[in-house]
Amino acid sequence: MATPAQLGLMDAASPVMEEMIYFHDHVMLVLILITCLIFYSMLVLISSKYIYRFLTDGHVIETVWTVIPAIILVVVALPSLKLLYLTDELDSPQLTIKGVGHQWYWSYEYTDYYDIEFDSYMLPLGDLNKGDARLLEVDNRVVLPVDTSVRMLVTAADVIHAWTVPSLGLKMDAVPGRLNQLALQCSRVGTFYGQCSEICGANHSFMPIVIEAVPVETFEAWCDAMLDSE
Amino acid sequence: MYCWHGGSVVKNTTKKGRTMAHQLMRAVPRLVARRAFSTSLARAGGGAGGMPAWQVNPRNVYEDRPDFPMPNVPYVSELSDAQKALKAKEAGDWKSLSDEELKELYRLKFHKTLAEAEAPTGEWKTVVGGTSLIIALTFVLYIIQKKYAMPAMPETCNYEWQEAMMKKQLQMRNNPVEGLASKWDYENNKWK
Repeated sequence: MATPAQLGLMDAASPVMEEMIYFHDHVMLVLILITCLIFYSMLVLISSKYIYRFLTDGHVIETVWTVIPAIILVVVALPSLKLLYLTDELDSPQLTIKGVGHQWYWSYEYTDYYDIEFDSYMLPLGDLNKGDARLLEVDNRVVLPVDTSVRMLVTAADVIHAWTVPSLGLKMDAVPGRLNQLALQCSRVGTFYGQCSEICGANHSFMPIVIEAVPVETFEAWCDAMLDSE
Repeated sequence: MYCWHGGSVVKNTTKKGRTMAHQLMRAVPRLVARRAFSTSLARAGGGAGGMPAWQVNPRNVYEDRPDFPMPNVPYVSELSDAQKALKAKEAGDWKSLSDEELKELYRLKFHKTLAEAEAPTGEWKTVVGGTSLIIALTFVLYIIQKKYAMPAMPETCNYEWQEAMMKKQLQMRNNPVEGLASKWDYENNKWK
Protein backbone atom coordinates (compact mmCIF):
# COMPACT_ATOMS: atom_id res chain seq x y z
CA MET A 1 0.00 0.00 0.00
CA ALA A 2 1.07 3.61 -0.31
CA THR A 3 2.86 5.36 2.55
CA PRO A 4 1.66 8.77 3.82
CA ALA A 5 2.41 11.71 1.53
CA GLN A 6 3.58 9.35 -1.20
CA LEU A 7 3.58 11.06 -4.58
CA GLY A 8 4.96 8.42 -6.93
CA LEU A 9 3.74 4.99 -7.95
CA MET A 10 4.02 2.03 -5.59
CA ASP A 11 6.65 -0.63 -6.27
CA ALA A 12 5.53 -3.12 -8.87
CA ALA A 13 4.40 -6.56 -7.80
CA SER A 14 3.80 -7.90 -11.31
CA PRO A 15 5.75 -7.78 -14.59
CA VAL A 16 3.08 -5.69 -16.27
CA MET A 17 3.24 -3.06 -13.53
CA GLU A 18 7.02 -2.90 -13.94
CA GLU A 19 6.50 -2.08 -17.61
CA MET A 20 3.94 0.54 -16.67
CA ILE A 21 6.44 2.19 -14.35
CA TYR A 22 9.03 2.28 -17.13
CA PHE A 23 6.47 3.77 -19.50
CA HIS A 24 5.48 6.34 -16.90
CA ASP A 25 9.13 7.36 -16.49
CA HIS A 26 9.55 7.60 -20.27
CA VAL A 27 6.49 9.84 -20.74
CA MET A 28 7.43 11.91 -17.69
CA LEU A 29 10.81 12.64 -19.25
CA VAL A 30 9.16 13.80 -22.48
CA LEU A 31 6.72 15.98 -20.55
CA ILE A 32 9.43 17.58 -18.41
CA LEU A 33 11.48 18.41 -21.50
CA ILE A 34 8.49 19.98 -23.21
CA THR A 35 7.52 21.91 -20.08
CA CYS A 36 11.04 23.26 -19.61
CA LEU A 37 11.12 24.37 -23.24
CA ILE A 38 7.78 26.16 -22.92
CA PHE A 39 8.71 27.84 -19.65
CA TYR A 40 11.98 29.03 -21.14
CA SER A 41 10.18 30.40 -24.20
CA MET A 42 7.63 32.20 -22.05
CA LEU A 43 10.36 33.70 -19.88
CA VAL A 44 12.31 34.97 -22.87
CA LEU A 45 9.23 36.42 -24.57
CA ILE A 46 7.88 38.12 -21.46
CA SER A 47 11.21 39.68 -20.52
CA SER A 48 11.85 40.94 -24.04
CA LYS A 49 11.34 44.66 -24.57
CA TYR A 50 10.89 44.40 -28.34
CA ILE A 51 7.54 44.33 -30.09
CA TYR A 52 7.07 43.42 -33.73
CA ARG A 53 3.69 44.83 -34.63
CA PHE A 54 3.36 43.40 -38.11
CA LEU A 55 3.89 39.72 -37.34
CA THR A 56 1.20 37.74 -39.13
CA ASP A 57 2.71 34.34 -39.97
CA GLY A 58 5.91 32.31 -40.00
CA HIS A 59 5.63 29.33 -42.28
CA VAL A 60 8.92 27.69 -41.39
CA ILE A 61 8.44 27.79 -37.63
CA GLU A 62 4.82 26.71 -37.98
CA THR A 63 5.94 23.66 -39.91
CA VAL A 64 8.66 22.91 -37.34
CA TRP A 65 6.31 23.13 -34.39
CA THR A 66 3.83 20.83 -36.10
CA VAL A 67 6.24 18.15 -37.22
CA ILE A 68 8.25 17.91 -34.00
CA PRO A 69 5.19 17.33 -31.75
CA ALA A 70 3.99 14.70 -34.22
CA ILE A 71 7.32 12.90 -33.84
CA ILE A 72 7.08 13.24 -30.05
CA LEU A 73 3.62 11.72 -30.14
CA VAL A 74 4.91 8.75 -32.11
CA VAL A 75 7.72 8.32 -29.55
CA VAL A 76 5.06 8.21 -26.81
CA ALA A 77 2.49 6.16 -28.70
CA LEU A 78 4.67 3.22 -29.70
CA PRO A 79 5.53 2.01 -26.19
CA SER A 80 2.03 2.92 -25.07
CA LEU A 81 0.42 0.59 -27.59
CA LYS A 82 2.95 -2.14 -26.84
CA LEU A 83 2.03 -1.91 -23.16
CA LEU A 84 -1.66 -1.84 -23.96
CA TYR A 85 -1.45 -5.16 -25.76
CA LEU A 86 0.86 -6.58 -23.12
CA THR A 87 -1.79 -6.08 -20.45
CA ASP A 88 -4.18 -8.23 -22.48
CA GLU A 89 -1.80 -11.14 -22.88
CA LEU A 90 -2.79 -14.21 -20.91
CA ASP A 91 -0.31 -17.04 -20.97
CA SER A 92 -1.90 -20.39 -20.07
CA PRO A 93 -3.37 -19.46 -16.72
CA GLN A 94 -3.03 -22.09 -14.01
CA LEU A 95 -5.89 -20.75 -11.92
CA THR A 96 -9.14 -18.96 -12.60
CA ILE A 97 -10.84 -16.82 -9.98
CA LYS A 98 -14.16 -15.09 -10.34
CA GLY A 99 -14.64 -11.77 -8.59
CA VAL A 100 -18.22 -10.52 -8.33
CA GLY A 101 -19.01 -6.99 -7.24
CA HIS A 102 -22.02 -6.38 -5.07
CA GLN A 103 -23.35 -3.38 -3.23
CA TRP A 104 -21.08 -3.07 -1.25
CA TYR A 105 -18.67 -5.99 -1.03
CA TRP A 106 -16.80 -8.38 -3.28
CA SER A 107 -17.33 -12.10 -3.48
CA TYR A 108 -14.80 -14.55 -4.89
CA GLU A 109 -15.15 -18.03 -6.34
CA TYR A 110 -12.34 -20.51 -6.81
CA THR A 111 -14.08 -23.23 -8.78
CA ASP A 112 -11.28 -24.84 -10.77
CA TYR A 113 -10.77 -27.83 -8.53
CA TYR A 114 -13.15 -27.42 -5.64
CA ASP A 115 -15.90 -24.98 -4.83
CA ILE A 116 -14.45 -22.26 -2.64
CA GLU A 117 -16.69 -19.22 -2.36
CA PHE A 118 -16.57 -16.39 0.14
CA ASP A 119 -17.54 -12.77 0.60
CA SER A 120 -15.03 -10.03 1.31
CA TYR A 121 -16.37 -7.18 3.43
CA MET A 122 -14.47 -4.15 4.61
CA LEU A 123 -13.55 -4.24 8.30
CA PRO A 124 -15.23 -1.34 10.10
CA LEU A 125 -13.17 0.97 12.33
CA GLY A 126 -14.24 -0.80 15.50
CA ASP A 127 -12.98 -4.19 14.26
CA LEU A 128 -9.51 -3.05 13.31
CA ASN A 129 -6.42 -4.12 15.21
CA LYS A 130 -3.86 -1.47 16.05
CA GLY A 131 -1.82 -0.72 12.94
CA ASP A 132 -4.41 -1.90 10.43
CA ALA A 133 -5.21 0.34 7.51
CA ARG A 134 -8.57 2.09 7.82
CA LEU A 135 -10.90 1.57 4.80
CA LEU A 136 -8.53 -1.04 3.34
CA GLU A 137 -8.66 -4.16 5.51
CA VAL A 138 -11.17 -6.91 4.75
CA ASP A 139 -12.39 -9.95 6.62
CA ASN A 140 -11.53 -12.49 3.89
CA ARG A 141 -8.63 -11.79 1.57
CA VAL A 142 -8.03 -13.08 -1.94
CA VAL A 143 -5.23 -15.59 -1.44
CA LEU A 144 -3.15 -16.40 -4.50
CA PRO A 145 -0.04 -18.47 -5.15
CA VAL A 146 2.98 -16.35 -6.05
CA ASP A 147 4.58 -16.56 -9.52
CA THR A 148 1.45 -18.16 -10.91
CA SER A 149 -0.44 -17.00 -13.95
CA VAL A 150 -4.01 -16.37 -12.82
CA ARG A 151 -7.07 -15.51 -14.84
CA MET A 152 -9.35 -13.12 -13.00
CA LEU A 153 -12.91 -12.95 -14.29
CA VAL A 154 -14.64 -9.86 -13.04
CA THR A 155 -18.35 -9.19 -13.07
CA ALA A 156 -21.04 -7.62 -10.93
CA ALA A 157 -24.37 -8.63 -9.52
CA ASP A 158 -26.15 -5.28 -9.41
CA VAL A 159 -24.47 -2.08 -10.62
CA ILE A 160 -21.13 -1.42 -12.29
CA HIS A 161 -18.12 -1.71 -9.97
CA ALA A 162 -14.41 -1.81 -10.80
CA TRP A 163 -11.82 -4.22 -9.42
CA THR A 164 -8.52 -2.48 -8.87
CA VAL A 165 -5.13 -3.37 -7.43
CA PRO A 166 -2.63 -0.61 -8.26
CA SER A 167 0.51 -2.50 -7.14
CA LEU A 168 -0.25 -5.16 -9.72
CA GLY A 169 -1.27 -2.66 -12.39
CA LEU A 170 -4.81 -4.02 -12.49
CA LYS A 171 -8.08 -2.27 -13.07
CA MET A 172 -11.17 -3.70 -14.72
CA ASP A 173 -14.80 -2.70 -14.73
CA ALA A 174 -17.16 -5.19 -13.17
CA VAL A 175 -20.23 -4.94 -15.35
CA PRO A 176 -23.41 -6.89 -14.61
CA GLY A 177 -24.15 -9.42 -17.31
CA ARG A 178 -20.58 -9.37 -18.62
CA LEU A 179 -17.37 -11.22 -17.80
CA ASN A 180 -14.19 -9.18 -18.08
CA GLN A 181 -10.88 -11.01 -18.04
CA LEU A 182 -7.71 -9.88 -16.29
CA ALA A 183 -4.28 -11.46 -16.41
CA LEU A 184 -2.83 -11.52 -12.92
CA GLN A 185 0.64 -12.60 -11.83
CA CYS A 186 2.24 -11.69 -8.51
CA SER A 187 6.03 -11.62 -8.73
CA ARG A 188 6.61 -11.45 -5.01
CA VAL A 189 5.03 -12.53 -1.75
CA GLY A 190 3.07 -9.81 -0.01
CA THR A 191 -0.22 -8.10 0.63
CA PHE A 192 -1.63 -5.79 -2.02
CA TYR A 193 -4.55 -3.45 -1.55
CA GLY A 194 -7.04 -1.82 -3.86
CA GLN A 195 -10.39 -0.08 -3.78
CA CYS A 196 -13.52 -0.13 -5.90
CA SER A 197 -13.00 2.29 -8.77
CA GLU A 198 -16.46 2.84 -10.22
CA ILE A 199 -19.10 4.81 -8.38
CA CYS A 200 -21.65 2.30 -7.20
CA GLY A 201 -23.68 3.91 -4.46
CA ALA A 202 -23.42 5.13 -0.91
CA ASN A 203 -20.64 2.78 0.21
CA HIS A 204 -18.57 2.87 -2.94
CA SER A 205 -15.54 4.01 -0.92
CA PHE A 206 -15.97 1.14 1.55
CA MET A 207 -15.53 -2.02 -0.51
CA PRO A 208 -11.78 -2.63 -0.76
CA ILE A 209 -9.85 -5.49 -2.34
CA VAL A 210 -6.96 -7.25 -0.63
CA ILE A 211 -4.75 -9.79 -2.36
CA GLU A 212 -2.42 -11.96 -0.34
CA ALA A 213 0.28 -13.56 -2.48
CA VAL A 214 1.70 -16.61 -0.71
CA PRO A 215 3.93 -19.58 -1.57
CA VAL A 216 2.15 -22.47 -3.26
CA GLU A 217 2.22 -24.67 -0.17
CA THR A 218 0.60 -21.94 1.90
CA PHE A 219 -2.03 -21.50 -0.78
CA GLU A 220 -2.81 -25.22 -0.72
CA ALA A 221 -3.11 -25.16 3.06
CA TRP A 222 -5.44 -22.17 2.81
CA CYS A 223 -7.62 -24.01 0.29
CA ASP A 224 -7.86 -26.98 2.64
CA ALA A 225 -8.79 -24.71 5.53
CA MET A 226 -11.49 -22.98 3.46
CA LEU A 227 -12.97 -26.29 2.37
CA ASP A 228 -12.97 -27.59 5.95
CA SER A 229 -14.69 -24.45 7.23
CA GLU A 230 -17.41 -24.79 4.58
CA MET B 1 -43.95 41.86 -23.92
CA TYR B 2 -42.16 43.44 -20.99
CA CYS B 3 -38.66 44.96 -20.71
CA TRP B 4 -36.13 44.54 -17.86
CA HIS B 5 -37.71 47.08 -15.51
CA GLY B 6 -41.16 45.59 -15.84
CA GLY B 7 -42.67 48.16 -18.14
CA SER B 8 -44.42 47.10 -21.29
CA VAL B 9 -42.42 47.40 -24.49
CA VAL B 10 -45.52 47.71 -26.56
CA LYS B 11 -47.79 49.88 -24.48
CA ASN B 12 -45.66 52.67 -22.94
CA THR B 13 -44.99 55.54 -25.30
CA THR B 14 -42.57 58.48 -25.35
CA LYS B 15 -43.59 62.13 -25.69
CA LYS B 16 -43.50 61.84 -29.46
CA GLY B 17 -45.87 58.90 -29.27
CA ARG B 18 -43.13 56.35 -30.08
CA THR B 19 -43.25 53.01 -28.20
CA MET B 20 -40.13 51.41 -26.78
CA ALA B 21 -40.34 48.71 -29.41
CA HIS B 22 -40.46 51.40 -32.08
CA GLN B 23 -37.38 53.09 -30.61
CA LEU B 24 -35.48 49.81 -30.51
CA MET B 25 -36.31 49.14 -34.15
CA ARG B 26 -34.93 52.54 -35.09
CA ALA B 27 -31.78 52.13 -32.95
CA VAL B 28 -30.70 48.67 -34.11
CA PRO B 29 -29.71 49.56 -37.69
CA ARG B 30 -27.84 52.63 -36.41
CA LEU B 31 -25.87 50.57 -33.86
CA VAL B 32 -25.09 47.83 -36.36
CA ALA B 33 -23.85 50.36 -38.89
CA ARG B 34 -21.68 52.03 -36.27
CA ARG B 35 -20.16 48.69 -35.23
CA ALA B 36 -19.58 47.65 -38.85
CA PHE B 37 -17.88 50.96 -39.60
CA SER B 38 -15.46 50.76 -36.66
CA THR B 39 -14.74 47.08 -37.36
CA SER B 40 -14.02 47.82 -41.01
CA LEU B 41 -11.62 50.59 -40.01
CA ALA B 42 -9.84 48.36 -37.52
CA ARG B 43 -9.58 45.38 -39.83
CA ALA B 44 -8.71 47.20 -43.08
CA GLY B 45 -5.79 45.67 -45.01
CA GLY B 46 -2.22 46.97 -45.10
CA GLY B 47 -2.28 50.03 -47.30
CA ALA B 48 -3.21 48.47 -50.66
CA GLY B 49 -5.91 49.95 -52.90
CA GLY B 50 -6.10 53.22 -51.01
CA MET B 51 -7.51 51.62 -47.84
CA PRO B 52 -6.02 52.89 -44.56
CA ALA B 53 -3.52 50.62 -42.78
CA TRP B 54 -4.52 48.74 -39.61
CA GLN B 55 -4.65 51.02 -36.65
CA VAL B 56 -4.81 50.04 -33.03
CA ASN B 57 -6.91 53.11 -32.23
CA PRO B 58 -8.79 54.13 -35.38
CA ARG B 59 -10.84 56.77 -33.67
CA ASN B 60 -9.43 60.18 -32.96
CA VAL B 61 -8.95 59.62 -29.26
CA TYR B 62 -5.66 60.42 -27.57
CA GLU B 63 -3.94 57.39 -25.96
CA ASP B 64 -0.46 56.94 -24.39
CA ARG B 65 0.74 53.52 -25.58
CA PRO B 66 4.47 52.70 -25.55
CA ASP B 67 4.09 50.27 -28.45
CA PHE B 68 2.11 52.78 -30.58
CA PRO B 69 3.85 56.04 -29.71
CA MET B 70 2.35 58.56 -32.17
CA PRO B 71 -1.38 59.13 -31.53
CA ASN B 72 -3.53 60.58 -34.32
CA VAL B 73 -4.58 63.63 -32.33
CA PRO B 74 -2.76 66.00 -29.96
CA TYR B 75 -3.44 65.80 -26.27
CA VAL B 76 -4.76 69.32 -25.98
CA SER B 77 -7.09 70.05 -28.87
CA GLU B 78 -8.80 73.19 -27.60
CA LEU B 79 -6.13 75.79 -27.09
CA SER B 80 -6.35 78.90 -24.92
CA ASP B 81 -5.22 82.24 -26.31
CA ALA B 82 -1.77 81.93 -24.72
CA GLN B 83 -1.40 78.45 -26.16
CA LYS B 84 -2.49 79.66 -29.59
CA ALA B 85 0.12 82.36 -29.43
CA LEU B 86 2.75 79.77 -28.55
CA LYS B 87 1.68 77.63 -31.49
CA ALA B 88 2.06 80.61 -33.75
CA LYS B 89 5.56 81.18 -32.35
CA GLU B 90 6.32 77.49 -33.07
CA ALA B 91 5.68 78.13 -36.74
CA GLY B 92 8.70 80.42 -36.77
CA ASP B 93 12.33 79.81 -35.84
CA TRP B 94 12.66 77.10 -33.20
CA LYS B 95 15.89 78.57 -31.87
CA SER B 96 13.84 81.44 -30.48
CA LEU B 97 11.86 79.08 -28.28
CA SER B 98 13.01 78.79 -24.68
CA ASP B 99 13.28 75.46 -22.84
CA GLU B 100 10.06 76.16 -20.96
CA GLU B 101 8.22 76.93 -24.18
CA LEU B 102 9.52 73.73 -25.77
CA LYS B 103 8.29 71.72 -22.82
CA GLU B 104 4.93 73.51 -22.97
CA LEU B 105 4.64 72.68 -26.67
CA TYR B 106 5.49 69.04 -25.94
CA ARG B 107 2.82 68.86 -23.26
CA LEU B 108 0.26 70.30 -25.69
CA LYS B 109 0.98 67.47 -28.07
CA PHE B 110 1.56 64.63 -25.63
CA HIS B 111 0.20 63.82 -22.17
CA LYS B 112 3.21 61.79 -20.96
CA THR B 113 6.78 61.38 -22.09
CA LEU B 114 7.89 57.91 -23.11
CA ALA B 115 9.67 57.48 -19.80
CA GLU B 116 6.51 58.45 -17.90
CA ALA B 117 4.36 56.12 -19.99
CA GLU B 118 6.72 53.20 -19.45
CA ALA B 119 7.29 53.95 -15.77
CA PRO B 120 6.19 51.21 -13.37
CA THR B 121 2.91 51.90 -11.60
CA GLY B 122 3.47 49.83 -8.50
CA GLU B 123 0.21 48.00 -9.20
CA TRP B 124 1.94 44.76 -8.33
CA LYS B 125 1.97 45.74 -4.67
CA THR B 126 -1.82 46.06 -4.67
CA VAL B 127 -2.21 42.71 -6.39
CA VAL B 128 0.20 40.85 -4.10
CA GLY B 129 -1.21 42.52 -1.01
CA GLY B 130 -4.81 41.80 -1.93
CA THR B 131 -4.06 38.19 -2.81
CA SER B 132 -2.14 37.65 0.43
CA LEU B 133 -5.00 39.14 2.41
CA ILE B 134 -7.53 36.81 0.83
CA ILE B 135 -5.29 33.78 1.38
CA ALA B 136 -4.79 34.78 5.01
CA LEU B 137 -8.55 35.09 5.41
CA THR B 138 -8.96 31.61 3.97
CA PHE B 139 -6.58 30.24 6.59
CA VAL B 140 -8.56 31.95 9.34
CA LEU B 141 -11.83 30.51 8.02
CA TYR B 142 -10.26 27.06 7.82
CA ILE B 143 -9.02 27.22 11.41
CA ILE B 144 -12.46 28.29 12.63
CA GLN B 145 -14.26 25.49 10.84
CA LYS B 146 -11.65 22.93 11.95
CA LYS B 147 -12.12 23.95 15.57
CA TYR B 148 -15.89 24.33 15.68
CA ALA B 149 -17.48 22.51 12.75
CA MET B 150 -15.46 19.50 11.64
CA PRO B 151 -15.84 16.14 13.43
CA ALA B 152 -12.89 14.58 15.27
CA MET B 153 -10.27 12.66 13.26
CA PRO B 154 -10.48 8.84 13.53
CA GLU B 155 -8.06 7.14 15.93
CA THR B 156 -6.12 5.74 12.97
CA CYS B 157 -4.67 9.21 12.49
CA ASN B 158 -3.03 9.44 15.89
CA TYR B 159 0.69 8.86 16.35
CA GLU B 160 0.55 5.45 18.06
CA TRP B 161 -1.61 3.97 15.35
CA GLN B 162 0.60 5.40 12.61
CA GLU B 163 3.64 3.93 14.33
CA ALA B 164 1.98 0.52 14.57
CA MET B 165 0.94 0.75 10.91
CA MET B 166 4.47 1.48 9.82
CA LYS B 167 5.76 -1.50 11.83
CA LYS B 168 3.18 -3.71 10.11
CA GLN B 169 4.15 -2.38 6.70
CA LEU B 170 7.80 -3.15 7.41
CA GLN B 171 6.86 -6.67 8.51
CA MET B 172 4.85 -7.08 5.28
CA ARG B 173 7.87 -5.87 3.25
CA ASN B 174 5.70 -3.14 1.79
CA ASN B 175 7.32 -1.57 -1.32
CA PRO B 176 10.66 -3.41 -0.95
CA VAL B 177 12.24 -2.16 -4.20
CA GLU B 178 12.41 1.63 -3.79
CA GLY B 179 9.77 2.34 -1.14
CA LEU B 180 9.42 1.98 2.59
CA ALA B 181 10.88 -1.49 3.19
CA SER B 182 13.90 -0.73 1.02
CA LYS B 183 14.95 1.90 3.56
CA TRP B 184 14.88 -0.46 6.56
CA ASP B 185 17.89 -2.53 7.56
CA TYR B 186 16.26 -5.83 8.55
CA GLU B 187 19.47 -7.36 9.93
CA ASN B 188 20.22 -4.55 12.33
CA ASN B 189 16.62 -3.48 12.90
CA LYS B 190 17.10 0.16 12.12
CA TRP B 191 16.76 2.62 9.23
CA LYS B 192 19.51 2.49 6.64
